[in-house]
Amino acid sequence: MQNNFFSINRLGMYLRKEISDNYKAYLLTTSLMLAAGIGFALIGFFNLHQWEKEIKVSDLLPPYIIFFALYIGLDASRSFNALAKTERRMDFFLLPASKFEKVLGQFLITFVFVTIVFHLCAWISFKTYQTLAITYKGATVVYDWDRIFHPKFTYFNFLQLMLGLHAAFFFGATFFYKFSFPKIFFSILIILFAGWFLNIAITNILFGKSLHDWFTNIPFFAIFTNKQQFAYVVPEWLGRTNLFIAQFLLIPALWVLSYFRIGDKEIQ
Amino acid sequence: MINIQSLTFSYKAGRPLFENLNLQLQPGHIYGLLGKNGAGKSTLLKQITGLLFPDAGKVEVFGEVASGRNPSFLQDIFLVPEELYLPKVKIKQYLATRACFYPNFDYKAFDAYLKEFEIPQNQYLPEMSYGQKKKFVISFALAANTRVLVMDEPTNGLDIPSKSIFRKLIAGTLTDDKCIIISTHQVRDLDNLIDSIVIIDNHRIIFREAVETVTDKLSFKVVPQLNPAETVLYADSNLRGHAIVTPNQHQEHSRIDMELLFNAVLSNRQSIQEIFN
Repeated sequence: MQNNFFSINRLGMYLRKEISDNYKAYLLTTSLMLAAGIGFALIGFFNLHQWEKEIKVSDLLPPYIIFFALYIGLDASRSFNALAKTERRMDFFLLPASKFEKVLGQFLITFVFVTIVFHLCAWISFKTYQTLAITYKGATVVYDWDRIFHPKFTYFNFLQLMLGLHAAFFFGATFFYKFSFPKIFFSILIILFAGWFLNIAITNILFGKSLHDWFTNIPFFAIFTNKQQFAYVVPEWLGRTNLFIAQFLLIPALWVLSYFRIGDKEIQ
Repeated sequence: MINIQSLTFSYKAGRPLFENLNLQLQPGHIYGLLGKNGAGKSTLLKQITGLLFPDAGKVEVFGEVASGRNPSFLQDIFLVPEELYLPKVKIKQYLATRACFYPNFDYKAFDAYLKEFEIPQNQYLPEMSYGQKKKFVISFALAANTRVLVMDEPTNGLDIPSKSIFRKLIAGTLTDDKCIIISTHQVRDLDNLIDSIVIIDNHRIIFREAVETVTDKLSFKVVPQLNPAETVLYADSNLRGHAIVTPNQHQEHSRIDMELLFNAVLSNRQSIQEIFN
C-alpha cells in the first residue's frame, strides 16, 4: 500500500526537480550574495585604519543578522510563487507528490538550504576580510560573541527567531504570489499594529484612569500605570506560558496553517 | 473508472455551472468532450484531475476522490492543459526530474514519440515554438502510461502532419485499462479517433453515446439538394451541396461527421434524444 502522506523517496525527487528547474535562479542569488559579502569585506578592509588593531566579531554581527533576516524573508516569501500563474499552478498541483512533501520541500529549500548557503557565503566573506586585515594591516580578530549571544539569548534562540520570521513569511506566501515580499512585510506590520491597538483599546477600557499614558503597555507582558506600583507585569507562570507559546507553538501553527492553505487551493 | 455523481459546482454563488451532473467513463475508450465556449468542458476536466473541488456530489477516479490529490492518484492521471508550463531546462533534464514520478513511464516510447514529432532530444524547452511544446508534452503524457489521460485542446497549435501523427499515437497507446478524454473545439481533428462522444451544453451532459451507436441511428451524408420529404435533423450548406444528418432508417452505413453531429445535437436536441432513447 502506497503511503500517500510522506515518502522520503518522493521528497528527494521533488527536491531534485525543484533544484533542477530553478538552479539558474539559485546560482544567481548565491553569486550575488557572495559578491555582496566579498564587497562588504573589501569595503571593511579599505576602511580599516592602521591604528585599529582589533576586529571585533560583535561589530560584524548586526549586518550579519540584518542580511540573514532579509534573505530568509525574501526567500520564504517566494516559497509558493509557482502559484502565481495558472499553468505553473497546474504543474505544481498535478506533480505526483503529496501536499506534505511539496510544503516540506519548499520549507527545506527556503530555510535549511538558504541558511546553509547564507552561512557559507558569510563565512567566505568573513575569511576574506580576516585574511586581508591580518595580512595587510596587522589586525587581530577578537571573537567576542558573548556581547550578543549569552546564556539568556543563545544562538539557538536567534535561530528560533529566524525560524519564526521564516514561518511568518512562509505563511504569507500562501496568500501572495506576486511581489510577495513587500506585501507580506506590510501585512505583518499591519497585523502587529492592529494587535497593539487592540491591546491598547482593551487596556484603556480596563485600566483607563490608571494608565501612565494611553499607549503604555507591552502586549502579553506589562501595563505601565501612574500608580505607586508603576507596572502591572504578568505573573511569571503566565509570562513563561506566553514565551513557550511564542517559541514552540506559534511557529508550528503557522506551518500547519500553510499546509492546509496549500491543500485547499484550487485552479479557477 | 471515472465516476462523477451529483456533481454541483459554481464559480460564483448563485450561478451554478454544474447541478447534479452524473457521468461515468469506462476504461478502454477514447472520449471526445465537446461543447460550446463556456459550456464547462475545462471545468469538468479540472474536476476530474482534482484541480477543482465539487461544491456537492463526488468525483472519483479509480475509486479515489480526485480532490484529495494523493500521489497514488496523481501518478496515474495526466493532464495536457491548453496553456502549458515548461521550466527553463533541456528535454533530458526535464525527463530526468519528472519521469521518475510516473512508475510506468516508458523511456523508449518517449524517444520514439519525439522522433515521430521530429523534436530533437537535446532541445532547450523555452526555445521551442508553441506547437513543439505541445508535441513534447503530448509525447511525455503518452509515455507516462497513466491509466487516465486528459487532454484539453491538444491539437491547438499542431500543424497538419502533426495532427495525423497525434491521432496515430493516441490510437496506438489505448489499451483496455486506459481511458483517454479529449476536449476540443476542433472536432474534425478527432475524426476516426474517438469512440465515444460526450456533449456538454448549458452546464449539463446532453449527449453521451458511442460512435458506433451514433452511426447506427443517424446517417451523415452530402446531398446535392434537400429533399422536403426526408427528415433532416441538421443541414449545413457547402460548395458540394448540403451536408445533412438524418435518422438512419434504412440501416445505411455512413462515416460520422463530428461537427454535423454536434450542431445537430445543439439545434435539434429533442428529436435526437427521441431517436437515442
